[in-house]
Amino acid sequence: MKSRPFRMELFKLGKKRAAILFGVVLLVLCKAALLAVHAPMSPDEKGSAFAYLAQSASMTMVLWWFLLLCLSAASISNERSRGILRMHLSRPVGRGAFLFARVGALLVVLFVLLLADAAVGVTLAAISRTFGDVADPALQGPQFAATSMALGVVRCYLFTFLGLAAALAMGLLFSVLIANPVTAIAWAAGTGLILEGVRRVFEIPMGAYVHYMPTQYIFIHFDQIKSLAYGFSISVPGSSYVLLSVLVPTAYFLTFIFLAYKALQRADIAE
Amino acid sequence: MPDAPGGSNAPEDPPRDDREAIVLRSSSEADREAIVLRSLCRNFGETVALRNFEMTVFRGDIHGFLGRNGAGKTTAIRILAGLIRADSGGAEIFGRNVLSGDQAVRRKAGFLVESPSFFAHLSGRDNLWCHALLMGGISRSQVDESLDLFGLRAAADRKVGGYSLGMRQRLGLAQAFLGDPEIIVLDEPAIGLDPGGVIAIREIIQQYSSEKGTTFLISSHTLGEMERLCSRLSIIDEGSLVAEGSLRELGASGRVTVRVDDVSKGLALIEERFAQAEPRQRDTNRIVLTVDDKDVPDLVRLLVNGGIGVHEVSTGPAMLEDLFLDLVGSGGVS
Repeated sequence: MKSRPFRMELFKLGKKRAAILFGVVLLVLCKAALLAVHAPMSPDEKGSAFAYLAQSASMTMVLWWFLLLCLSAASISNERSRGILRMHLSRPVGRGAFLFARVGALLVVLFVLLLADAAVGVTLAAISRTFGDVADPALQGPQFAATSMALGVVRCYLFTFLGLAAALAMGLLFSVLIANPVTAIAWAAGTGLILEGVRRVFEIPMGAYVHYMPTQYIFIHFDQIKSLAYGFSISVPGSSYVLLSVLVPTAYFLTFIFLAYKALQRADIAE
Repeated sequence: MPDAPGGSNAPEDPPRDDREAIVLRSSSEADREAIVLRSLCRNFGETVALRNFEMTVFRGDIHGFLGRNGAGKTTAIRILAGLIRADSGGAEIFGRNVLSGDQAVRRKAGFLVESPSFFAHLSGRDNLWCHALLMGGISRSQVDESLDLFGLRAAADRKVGGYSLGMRQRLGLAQAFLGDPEIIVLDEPAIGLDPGGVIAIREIIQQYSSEKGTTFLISSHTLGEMERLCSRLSIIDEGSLVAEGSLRELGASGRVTVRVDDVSKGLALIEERFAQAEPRQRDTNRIVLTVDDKDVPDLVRLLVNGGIGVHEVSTGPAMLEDLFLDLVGSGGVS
């Protein structure tokens, strides 16, 4: 049964159809532009149309990660600074229910974005196969054969979803902690940049599952972590790698949401 | 330059904690309690917003809530609405604790806390529908009724971003009245409204109170309006209750106003003879004090013998403005 706050969130989302459609169009344009620059043009270069799709999935993730972080960081703080949150929380609705409804609405947006992303990727891969030099038996027109590669794409998007959900939850935490939306976005974006900086300074390879944005790199096999610059290597069996890839972003997500919940419970909603 | 009303006495006033609040209540009212705030305390850092604040609002009453800026009115209302926490004390609506996070009790209440805010990109009707969804059990027709009540039907489908201040205020009132709650708490309901709007709101409040038995708690600085509207009052100062009761009860306590031609000289004479009467300069030519009726001839004689021209002496219940200034002063504003 849908909670009362979630029904309101869905109603609000329905009123933002134009903005969501604009986001999808933006996605198509960004992805087309990026693929025009980086697209594998032969089976030998990246392997197959599937690799094309996988690359397509990862390429726009930076954009989505940043977008979702900012969107969620502004989400509650914006309403709080404008006094709308005060009006809504004076209604018979618990703060926890309000927060989880917002999380649910943002996850719906994320899900729509990833579906659109996948659809655009499949379409572009199909166009590539039809009109380019890429040939792949795994991709039969718009329909995937049930191969391990196709499952790999699903897994890729699953990890993507979890990783982006973790970023979203981090943004929400900033949103609850900082009433000013601009400051909240700045903190969230700044934290992301610092994490990226740390990753680069310590030369953590892209395969590191602990990366705050795991899904952009998670497709690459984990044995790459042996190239860590600090004279040690980590060997993770494939199944553990998959498990950790799910568990770590999920743990991040739950931790951020829990902290946001506790912060919102304690917050004084007053300008 | 004359002292600000009440200003000359202010430094000698004891801390609010040490004063005794005037609370006038009959025993039959005990079972009519709608809102009860008990020993409510709240500090913001070093600032004391509420200090053992008590207030009782009875069912069906239109209860005025008065105080200077920063006295603690909005803090008390925010606590009641569940927006901020109390450091200690209790707050009840119909006997149920609102501080425990009990949401069911807030279903019976509508709030307009400070200036109303809405989604600018949604219409007035959609914004009210958002509130209806949060409340649950409210139909589209009830939303339209609320819009009708405050004259917003014609603008219902316009985006709120294009509303004037007065229209937003009316929309805020419409959301507070949505679903006919048993208690409606309004913080400065007349802000931004034109005179016609103020009268219309007053009539709506009176109609709801008399026909539906709705209980109102209204915080406002518009004393004339409160005087016309409210059946009972609570006056807060420095976070504590100063007085509570009906205007008649609070004002019918031997209050005398004297119009003289030399206020400062008259004030000095009265303070010498009637120190317990708490004489105070009301304005440029009036002194207000509290004495028994039997002492009024002595008072007049004292002033006349002191060479002061007495133009008018009036006794009886105070006007709300006088009462307010008597109890809390003007806060240094002359």
